[in-house]
Amino acid sequence: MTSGEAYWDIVWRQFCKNRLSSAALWTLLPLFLLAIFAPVLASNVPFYYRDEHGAIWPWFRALFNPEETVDYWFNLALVAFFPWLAASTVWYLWSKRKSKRVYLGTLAGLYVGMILALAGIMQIPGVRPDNRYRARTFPEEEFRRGGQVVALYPLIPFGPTEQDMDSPVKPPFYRKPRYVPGTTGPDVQTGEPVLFWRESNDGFPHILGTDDVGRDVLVRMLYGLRISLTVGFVAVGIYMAIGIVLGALAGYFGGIIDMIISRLIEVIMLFPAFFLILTLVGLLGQSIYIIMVVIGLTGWPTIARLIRGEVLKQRNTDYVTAARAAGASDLRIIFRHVLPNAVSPAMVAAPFGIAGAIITEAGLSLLGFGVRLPAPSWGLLLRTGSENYHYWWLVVFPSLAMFITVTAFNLVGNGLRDAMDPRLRI
Amino acid sequence: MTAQVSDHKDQAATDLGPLLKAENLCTYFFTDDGILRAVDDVSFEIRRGRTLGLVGESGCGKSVTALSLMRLVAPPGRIVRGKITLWDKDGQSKILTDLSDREMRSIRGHKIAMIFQEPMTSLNPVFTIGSQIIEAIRLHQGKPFAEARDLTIQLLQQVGIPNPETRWRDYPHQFSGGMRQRVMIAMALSCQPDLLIADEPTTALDVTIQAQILELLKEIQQKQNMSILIITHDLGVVAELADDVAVMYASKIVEQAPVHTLFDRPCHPYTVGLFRSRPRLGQDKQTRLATIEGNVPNPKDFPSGCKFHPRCPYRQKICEQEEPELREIAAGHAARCHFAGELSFDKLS
Repeated sequence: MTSGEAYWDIVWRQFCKNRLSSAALWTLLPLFLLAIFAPVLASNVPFYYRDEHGAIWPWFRALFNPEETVDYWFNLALVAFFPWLAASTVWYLWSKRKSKRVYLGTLAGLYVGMILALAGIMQIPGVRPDNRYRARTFPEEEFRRGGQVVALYPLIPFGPTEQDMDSPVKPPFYRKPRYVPGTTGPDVQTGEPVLFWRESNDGFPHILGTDDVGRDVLVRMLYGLRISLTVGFVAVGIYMAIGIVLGALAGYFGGIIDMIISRLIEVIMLFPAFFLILTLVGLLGQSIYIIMVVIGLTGWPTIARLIRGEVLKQRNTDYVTAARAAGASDLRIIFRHVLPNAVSPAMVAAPFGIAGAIITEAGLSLLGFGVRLPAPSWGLLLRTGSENYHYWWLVVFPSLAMFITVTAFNLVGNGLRDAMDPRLRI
Repeated sequence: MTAQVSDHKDQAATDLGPLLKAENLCTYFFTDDGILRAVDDVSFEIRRGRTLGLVGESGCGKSVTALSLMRLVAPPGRIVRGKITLWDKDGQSKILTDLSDREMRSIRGHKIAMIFQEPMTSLNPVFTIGSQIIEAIRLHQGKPFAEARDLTIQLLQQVGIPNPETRWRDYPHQFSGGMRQRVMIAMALSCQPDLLIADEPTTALDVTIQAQILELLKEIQQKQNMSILIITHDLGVVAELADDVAVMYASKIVEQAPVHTLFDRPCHPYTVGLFRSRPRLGQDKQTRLATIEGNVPNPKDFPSGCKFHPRCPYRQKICEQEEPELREIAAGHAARCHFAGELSFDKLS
């Protein structure tokens, strides 16, 4: 054996052998990429627009000034993506000896770091591009007579919140009729040469149809993925952080600290997240932050319990005594020696938690207590669908999106649990 | 192992001064079932560069004594009484029982290091052995990583791990028990401690590896003038390694002597019983093995008077009533028995 195979390497190997879970993980990767690259695929703002006044690049400015905070962070992730890819490749080629697991950890950390750095840079006054084109619309039909207008749009030229009252609840593959320049010919009355417009049916289709105010369903699903992933990861991130710290303290120190934290766990476990959010939204208004924070603050007891149990086991092992005999302080022992051995059950709970958070948020939005319109949450799409259920595409496609995402996370969680079980080692 | 005692340094010849002295150490466990007096009025001294062997059966309090020296006794146990003094090279002394927790942490691993019985579980499975040794080095000496890594490889070489330049990055499960114990020794030596406490380091290993580990300890001791407190129940290990011996029974020291003296002229009936109970080469197969009748008492319920009296073939009325003091019989030789020095035992070998 050349270099050591650590615990997580073994877990990864076992996980990869499980076909269903690996497939789920490989499904999650494109989902992440879709969420990050959503504006590249679908936006109602063109990359490049040239008319008689000159050429402008409105898409780039819009990238830094979206309406929702969720979009802002994902857009920063988009901007940081290729630099990160370059940096990762350089780092990979330069340092060969580490194991796969170290790569994953470092690369993820590098990405997050670059996004945060970018956010920091954007705060410097003057750096952030202003959105001077916010008020402009670039409808495809805006072709001036006599002038040449060139607009380069993303693949799907619709925005997630762009209403179009001319095409409400249209079925999939509906193309909106539009006018394009036709032939030049003599004007009927004056006889001067003039550009005739003709009706054309070759605009980009609404692949999955439109909703009741003309917004494209596919684009809303795409941007809705961002909201779902954000709620999932942030909520679970909050409750993992709180749960791990409190569970470790309770398990390691015992005594009165354990007693207080255990009572806290029991009390907070009683709070139903869903109904608490309903109440708070009723009082404070709809907000995505309420959802994330409340799920986070009511979900940590489960994790804390799991961690506490594991820490209680690890506390009495010989290597903890040896570490103490070597002079390590309690805090160091907890975070460096005990926790790496104790987080396994909590790691298994994480993907299931993300799936649960996604469903909770969708359910709340369905009832009207989640994110505010016109944000493209899947729950809101389903809400429209439930009101207009005669139009099947409003119900089927968002449901499909949620099904795929949630099932993928659940399968990953299952696979992780099986991979960590020493009895199922192959 | 035979009872042949190897050559040890003469007491008077190379006295480098005191290193550690425990005086009237008492460690009790305050449980719901009552007070368990695990270590009761234990006193001994370890001089610099010498080895003290602490011998006794399981449950006599030797491990708790070692943990008390490091102040690692976990609640509900605590040191109730007694003083532990540590001297450094310049003769400055520190009273360990008075130190704060933070000061004690700087002593643990640095001035006093400890290795444990079970090498299979003494190392953290999720870290490489190299990173665990480096952690110990950086904790106490603050060296930069590269220097700590080089020192680690050097230490692994010293303790006899083959190919240390590649193996320092391996995980504990890639090593055998004997190798792991060597890694633990390397970790303990990383800060060049003045005292190494070895709590039954070879009990979990097979005999050939045991011999190697003991050789290693002796070698290191000679090179660095390090003192060792070796805790064991194996008299053979004591014979190999120790300069002085203290025999413990039921939380008290019952006999204390330099190793030659103990092996030649043991004075306490328990010690005599221990020596007698070892099987000997050439013994007639028909003779029954000698044993010490009875069982080690439960700390919850120690016998009155002399704690050994229910098992002692020489007991008298007074033994049941009065607990004997540790009395000095000859120079450096003390025993806790009412009749110490007066009893004569049959030739043991």
